[in-house]
Amino acid sequence: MGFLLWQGVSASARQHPERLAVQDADGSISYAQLERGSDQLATLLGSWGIGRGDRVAILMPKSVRSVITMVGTSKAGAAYVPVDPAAPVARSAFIIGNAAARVLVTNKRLLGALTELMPQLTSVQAILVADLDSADAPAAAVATHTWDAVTATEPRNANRATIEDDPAYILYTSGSTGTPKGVVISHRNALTFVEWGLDVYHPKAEDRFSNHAPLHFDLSVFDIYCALHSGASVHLVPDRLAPFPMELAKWIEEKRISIWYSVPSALIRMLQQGQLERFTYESLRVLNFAGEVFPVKHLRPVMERFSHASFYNLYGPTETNVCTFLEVPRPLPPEITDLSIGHSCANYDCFAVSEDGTRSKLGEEGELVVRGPGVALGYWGLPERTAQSFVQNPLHADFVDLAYRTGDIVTTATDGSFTFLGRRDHMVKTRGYRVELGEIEHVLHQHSAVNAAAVFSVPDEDIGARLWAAVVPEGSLTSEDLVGFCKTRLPHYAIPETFVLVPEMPRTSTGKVDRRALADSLVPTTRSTGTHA
Amino acid sequence: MHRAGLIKYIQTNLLQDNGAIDADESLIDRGIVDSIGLMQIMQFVETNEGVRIPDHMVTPENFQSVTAIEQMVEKLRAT
Repeated sequence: MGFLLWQGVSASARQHPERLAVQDADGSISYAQLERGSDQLATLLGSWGIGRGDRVAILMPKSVRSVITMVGTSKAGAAYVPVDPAAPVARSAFIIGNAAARVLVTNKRLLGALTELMPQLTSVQAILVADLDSADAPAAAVATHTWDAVTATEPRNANRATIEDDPAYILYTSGSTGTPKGVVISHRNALTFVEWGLDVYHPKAEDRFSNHAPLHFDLSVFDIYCALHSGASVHLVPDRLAPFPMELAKWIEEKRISIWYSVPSALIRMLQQGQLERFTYESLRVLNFAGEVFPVKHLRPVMERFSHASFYNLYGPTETNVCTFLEVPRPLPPEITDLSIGHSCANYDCFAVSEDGTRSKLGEEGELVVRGPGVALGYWGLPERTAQSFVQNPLHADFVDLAYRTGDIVTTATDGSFTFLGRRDHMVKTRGYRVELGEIEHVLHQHSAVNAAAVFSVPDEDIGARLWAAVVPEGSLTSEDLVGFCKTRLPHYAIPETFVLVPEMPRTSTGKVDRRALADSLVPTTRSTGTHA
Repeated sequence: MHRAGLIKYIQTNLLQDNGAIDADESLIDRGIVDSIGLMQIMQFVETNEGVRIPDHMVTPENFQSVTAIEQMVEKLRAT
C-alpha cells in the first residue's frame, strides 16, 4: 500500500489500464487515460510552481475532468478544495480566498459568474477552464488556460516530496460564526477510511460504484477512491438526473450499479416518487447511507425494493471520515424502531464521554469522541476553533494524544455499539447537509431591516429537519425580502423554509434567545429539537 | 398557466444571482432545478395552478424550462 491517496489509483492503472475508470453524463475514461491525464495536469501545475503546501480550488459541476483534477493535484503534491458549484458565488469566492488557492479549476459559466469578485481573489495566479478545449482562453486579469494546456503537456513523474501527513484535500462545511470552515484531511486520514472501505466491501474490478453526493461532501471520497483503488468504475450521477427520482431509479438499473452511497433522503424520495417497483436492481450488492438518521419506517420498504443489497449505516462527521458503521440486519427484526450507528471502524477508537470528562457508563448519555489516524488535521486557518474540537484525549494526560469531540450525544450499548441521540450545539442536518444555525443567523443579521433573528429546526421524518427563522423587523420587511437576501448568501438547503416576523424574541433566564419557546409558540403541533441553548 | 408568476417566483426564491431568467432557458444548467428547487417549483405550480403533477411526469424534460413546465401544466389540464 502507498502512503498517498493517488498511489492506489496508479496501482489500478498499472493493473487494469484498459478498464473503465470514470464515467460522467458526457463520456468516460479508462485507467490509462486517467493516469496520463492526471500526470499531465500534475506536470502542468508543477510548471506553474504549484506543489506541496499549495491549494487548487475545483469549482465546477462534477465530471471526468473533476476527477482528473483531484488526482492530478494530489500528484503535484498540492491539496485540492472542491467548492459547491450550486452555492451562491459570494460563498464560493469566500472559500477560494479563505483557502488561499493558487489555482482555480472551473468552467466557463462559473468563471463568468465570478468575474466581479475575481479582483478580491488575490491568491489565484492561474485559472484552468475545464470545459474549453480550444487554444483560445477567455481574456481575464489572471493567466487563464483551457484544458488544451493539460492535453498538450508531456507528463513527468509525480512530485515525490509529499508525505502522508500533508493535506490531500480541504472540505468546507457550515461554520457557526457565519462563514464556512475548511476541514483539512491528510493523505493518511483519507487512506484510513479508504482502506477500511476496501476491507469491508472487497470491491472487485467488476464493481460499478455510483457517485451521488457532490464532491465537496465527503461521501464522494468513498465512491471515488474505493472504486479507483480497486480497479472498479465510478459512475457520476448526472446533475440533470439527480433531482428526478424516477430517472435516478432507472439510472441505477441501467448502469448496473453495484455499490451505492447516498443520504437517506435521496432514497426516501426514490421510494415515494421513483416507482422503484419497475426494476429489480440485481447488480446492486451494497447500499450505504449516511449523513442523517434513516427512519426505520422508510428503511424497511427501501430494503424490500433493493432486495439484493446489503445495507450499511455509516456515521462520521467530515472531521473523522466514517468512524462507525452498522451492517443493517436483513431481515430487519420487527422490534427495531431506531437504528444504531454501530461499532467503530478499523483503526478508529470511538468512545462516549460524560460531562465530567470520564468515560460514560453503558446506557448513559455522553459526547462521542473519536481518535485515530482517520481524524482530520484540523480547521484551515482557525487554530482556536481547532483547539476547541481537536483536544487531548480526555481519558488521560500521559502523552500527546489528540481526539475529536464530535458534539454528537450518544449512548453505548452492552455490545459496544452506539446510538445517536442528538447534538449538544446548534448544528442540524437537513437532507443530509450539515447546517450551523449560527451561520444563517449571522447572514440574517447583516440585513439592514433585521433587528434580531433566531433560526431553529423542526424535526421532519423525511428530510431530518426543516429550518424556521424568527425575525424582529426594524422598519418594513417581508419574508420575500429575507428569502431574496439569503439566496445570494447561503446554499439552497440552508435557506429557512419559513420566516416569521415577531415583535420580540423570547429570552431564557440568562438572556439568551429561547429557541425552544419560539418553536413551541410558532410551529403548529410539532416540537423543536436539539436547539435549546 | 400564469407564466409571469412562475418566473417571478423562481427569480425571487431560487435564482442566486438576482438576475433574470428567460422562459426558454435551462433551469437545470442555471442550478435552479436541484432536488430542493424542484420540490419548491412543484409545490408552487400545484398550489397556484390547481393541478397535481403525477410521479411519471416529474422528468428533466418537463422541468427543463419555464416553457416546458407551462406545456406540462396545459397537458395536465387537458386530461
